[in-house]
Amino acid sequence: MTTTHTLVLKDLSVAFGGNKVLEGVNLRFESGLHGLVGPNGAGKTTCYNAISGYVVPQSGTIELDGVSLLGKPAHEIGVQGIGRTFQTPKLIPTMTVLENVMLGANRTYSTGHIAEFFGSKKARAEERNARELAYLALQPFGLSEVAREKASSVPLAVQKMVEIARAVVTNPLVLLLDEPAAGLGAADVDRMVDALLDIINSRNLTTVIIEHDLHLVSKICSKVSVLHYGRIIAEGEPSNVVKDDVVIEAYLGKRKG
Amino acid sequence: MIQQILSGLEAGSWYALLAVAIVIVMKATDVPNFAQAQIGMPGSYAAINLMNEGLNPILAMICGIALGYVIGAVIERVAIRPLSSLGHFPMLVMTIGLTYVLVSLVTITFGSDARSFSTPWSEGGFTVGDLYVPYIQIITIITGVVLALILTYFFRTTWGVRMRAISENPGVSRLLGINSGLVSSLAWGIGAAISTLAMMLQTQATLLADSSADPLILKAFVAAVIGSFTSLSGAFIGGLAIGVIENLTGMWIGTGWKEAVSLIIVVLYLFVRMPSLVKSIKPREV
Amino acid sequence: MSLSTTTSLIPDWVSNPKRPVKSSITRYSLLAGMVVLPWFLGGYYIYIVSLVLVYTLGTLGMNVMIGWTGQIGLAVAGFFGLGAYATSILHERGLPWILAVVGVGLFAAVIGFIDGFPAVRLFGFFLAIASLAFGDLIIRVILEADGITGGGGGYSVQLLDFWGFDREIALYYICLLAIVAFIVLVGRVLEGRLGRTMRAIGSIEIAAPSLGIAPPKYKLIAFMFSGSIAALAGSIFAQLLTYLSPDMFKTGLLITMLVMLIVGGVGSIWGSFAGALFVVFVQEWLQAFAVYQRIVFGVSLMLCIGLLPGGIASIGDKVRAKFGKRQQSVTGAE
Repeated sequence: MTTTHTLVLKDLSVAFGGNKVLEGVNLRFESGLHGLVGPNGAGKTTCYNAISGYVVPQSGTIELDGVSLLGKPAHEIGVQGIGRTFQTPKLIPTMTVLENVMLGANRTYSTGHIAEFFGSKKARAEERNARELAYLALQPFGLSEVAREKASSVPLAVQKMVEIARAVVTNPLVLLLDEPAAGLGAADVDRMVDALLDIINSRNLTTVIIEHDLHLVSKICSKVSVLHYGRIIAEGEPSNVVKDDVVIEAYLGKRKG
Repeated sequence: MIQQILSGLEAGSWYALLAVAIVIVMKATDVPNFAQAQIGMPGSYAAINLMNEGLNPILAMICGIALGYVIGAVIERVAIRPLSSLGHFPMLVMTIGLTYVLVSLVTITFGSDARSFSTPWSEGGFTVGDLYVPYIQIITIITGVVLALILTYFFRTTWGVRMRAISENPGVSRLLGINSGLVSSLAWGIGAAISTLAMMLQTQATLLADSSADPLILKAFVAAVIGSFTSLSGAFIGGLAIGVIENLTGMWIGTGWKEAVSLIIVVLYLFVRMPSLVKSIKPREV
Repeated sequence: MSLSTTTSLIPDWVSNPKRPVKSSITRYSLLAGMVVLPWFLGGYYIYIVSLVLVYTLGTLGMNVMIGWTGQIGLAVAGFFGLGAYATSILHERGLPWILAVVGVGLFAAVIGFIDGFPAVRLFGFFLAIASLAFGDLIIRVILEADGITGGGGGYSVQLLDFWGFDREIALYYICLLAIVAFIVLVGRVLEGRLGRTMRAIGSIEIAAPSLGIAPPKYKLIAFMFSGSIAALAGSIFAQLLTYLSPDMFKTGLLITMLVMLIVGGVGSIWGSFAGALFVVFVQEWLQAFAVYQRIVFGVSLMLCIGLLPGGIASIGDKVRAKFGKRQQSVTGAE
């Protein structure tokens, strides 16, 4: 049985200049799929950026399985086990889909670059291993057929799924997804979600998903946190949270009368 | 030593003016124009030719500057605006290509021999104690300062504010009705006009040849870097500083190192200012 | 999900990628052609081809640094000069040429590290200026050290002794050997993990840390590699030209190499060759008219940036896209 990994944010505050983006945010992500929702500008992506190490918080703590992530350089946090995707997929256009996903497998290599130059047996074996891991990561999404396509020539939906596959290949302890379903048609969203749930359940992977579509979030998340103007205003089971007055007000504005 | 400082301020004024032109163009159109010095050459040649035809020197210079403005605007329309979506490096390379084209056209049209740009004030000077101060030196320095003041005032006017708006936030500016095409045109025109003026001042102190612009451009860029490419005053003062430091170095250490000074300055400067440059650019990406 | 139970589902092309036969044939025939070239071309033309190869080498380094890793380093002319002068001077002082070349190459890697050091924090345009200044500085040092380098007065390169063999041909084979070695090396790196990583930094630097990739390390590798290869090219360049002067390595050379890079096609190995070929061709054709050379270069730079961003190398792709087979269609959801 694979262990669960926990990501805890305590009293996290982030400000850019005088602009307070996050204030005293407390979040706890454990096994399963967590939703992080809130109106635009609420600070959701900033949360991710703080976790990934792109942004330095003014105060508060971020701990992965009890180990603090604060002050660590971003690439080390990636190595520690935080995988993520981005609002617009960051793929290398001139490389094939498979090669893009292989980027996630960099850490699986134990041979260095020198061995790679001289084509040592071990290096070649590890390269083959990476190719296979990447190919297998594409399968749940049904993208095996496009593995050889250039990333620039596949549609947005495919790009987003490729990015997720790449993040999964890094073997993360916690996976952060930033609006993966945005801009996708219903059929693509279903395909993506099915694959995602498959992956999450088989690895018991703690996953956080930023999304705007409350229906989707209600359907697939076991827990939802709502962020508004940098503060958590509600938290709990999706069915309860969407009925919460505070949440409705935040999304739609004050009810008349 | 005061002599050296004055020479330094003179050379520095050329760099400063060019640097200011670079920053204006950068701020308004986001293009690092490596041809900013070369763009001033056609106007300078035109002015000389007009003077040789008998036209009053001041009028000739004004015509030259006007020609410079037109050239800048034309280049903007033809080569810059269509490619406004490209990043800094492609545009830098494009302007490098432009330097070759401009200089070659000048050489073909006017030949490559040097000629003197003589105006009533380009010869002679006055003496103050031990010092001999060429007229052109004082005129250059004063022109530089006056122009800097004029520009400072300009950027407070409507068009100046529009230019700043476009550079800060092109999308919103357009929504507010600011015609970005006109602003780009204006910026390049003004930049080229300033460059023409700078080249005219420089060639009056030295000579005008097709290679006149080359040594100036890198130093002007260094000055612009000191202004972080966004501050006109920083670029202006940077240019003056480079001129002065250069001359003092030449006096104390040796003429060879004089040229290296600007290079060392920029390398050191960027090393020192690195963190703050980074901070000002990063966060909004993701 | 363990690998062993699903290996049967992995197609062979994944586990054992093979280069298509057609491209292998092209490569080997090209190589064979290059090897027998001296039988068909006279001494002067062999010299020209050698020059093309040397420039290709330098452009290759620029491609790795600028084309893949996205670092705008413009010190290449300085490194050419460094290699040319340093190797020739050491050779003159008695060191065997090959040792000098290797030694200078390693030294250039160190200098490349210093050149690349600001790259860790700077990027884009600031980096371009800093590296431009750095390259200029190297040449200035060469100019000032005129006791050793002859300074502005020039330096006569001590010619390599080829034991009676035709000098032009011997140099040609050295160039050919070097270029083949490096194309193989770079090609191999491109296909492997290092290549992917560097290209990630070039295109998606912001996402790289999330994949455990530390950009600084790879940026420095790019700078060191490009500096070394430029120095190596410079060493051979010195033997070809037999006379050196600091003027040869100033902005003129840098712009020439930029033309090779851009017109050939940024990020393409074959583009390096195409670009070098283009430049040397123009230089020879318009030999008497330096001015016209400059206009052609200037215009071709501007045209390529504006109309043909991928350079000559992308023409093949564009033609294939118009007339070649359709891209494989993507499954289902569009």
